[in-house]
Amino acid sequence: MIHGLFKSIDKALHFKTVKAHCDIPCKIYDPSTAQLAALSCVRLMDLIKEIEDKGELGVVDYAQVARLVSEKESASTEVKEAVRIIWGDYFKAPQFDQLPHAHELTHNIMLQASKCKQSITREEGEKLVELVNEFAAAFWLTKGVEVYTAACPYPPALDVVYPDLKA
Amino acid sequence: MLSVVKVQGVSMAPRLKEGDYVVINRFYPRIKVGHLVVVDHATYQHMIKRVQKINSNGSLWLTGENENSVRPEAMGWVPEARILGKVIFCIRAKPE
Repeated sequence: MIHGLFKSIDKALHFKTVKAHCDIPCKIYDPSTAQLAALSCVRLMDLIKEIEDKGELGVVDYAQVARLVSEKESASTEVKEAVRIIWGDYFKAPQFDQLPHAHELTHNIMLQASKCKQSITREEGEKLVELVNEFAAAFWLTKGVEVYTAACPYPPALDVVYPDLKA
Repeated sequence: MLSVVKVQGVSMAPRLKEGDYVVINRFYPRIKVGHLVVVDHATYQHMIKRVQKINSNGSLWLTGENENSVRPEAMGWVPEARILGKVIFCIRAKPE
C-alpha cells in the first residue's frame, strides 16, 4: 500500500532515478575514447599557445582562454575515466597476467592526465598521448589484434596506435 | 532534508530491486561501513551503493550487492562531496 502511494506521488512529482548501476556487461571497450581525449589535450594546449603568442590580449582572448582551459580540464578527466573503465571493468586476471605492467601504466596515465590539467605545456600533452598509445597497444594485445601507428589526420597530427582490423 | 528517489537496475538485489523507492537524508550525521548511500558519480552519475570502506579523507569505496554491479575498482574512491544522501528508509515494490 505504501509503495502504491509512493508510485502515485512519483507519477505526479517524477522522483529522480538512481541506478543500482549494472554493467550489462556489454563488452564494448575501446581505448580510442582515451586517445581522442589525449589528442584533444594537446590541441587545446596549442590553441592556448596561439593566443599567448599574440602578445597584447583583449577581453575576447581572455574569454577564449577560459573556454580552452575548461575544455582541457574536461579532456584530461575524460582520459582518466576512459582508461579507468577499461582497467576496472575489462582487465581481469588473464589480462593482468598478460600485462604485468598494467597497474603501473594506468597509474602513470592518471598522474600525467593530472599534469595536463595543471599545465599548458605541449610536452606534457605529448607524454599523455604516448602513455595512452602504450595503453591502447596493451589493450589490443589482450584482444589478439595487431596494431599499427600512423599520424592522426587532424591537428595535432600526432602518432596514434590504431588496431589493424584487416589483418 | 529528506528526498525520495526511485531505484533502477538490479545490481543491489536482493536488498533493493527495480522499482523500489528509498528515502535519503541529505544531512546525514555520519556515514559508516555498510550504509547505503546515493552518490553523484563522475562517470556513472546518480548511483545507489553500499559503503564497503571509508578513507581517512572521507572518500568512500562502494560496492553493489551482486556480481552484476559495476566493480568497486571501476567506481574508484568517491569523494565525500559527491554524496547526495544516506538511505534511511526503503519502500519496496510488491513482488511480481
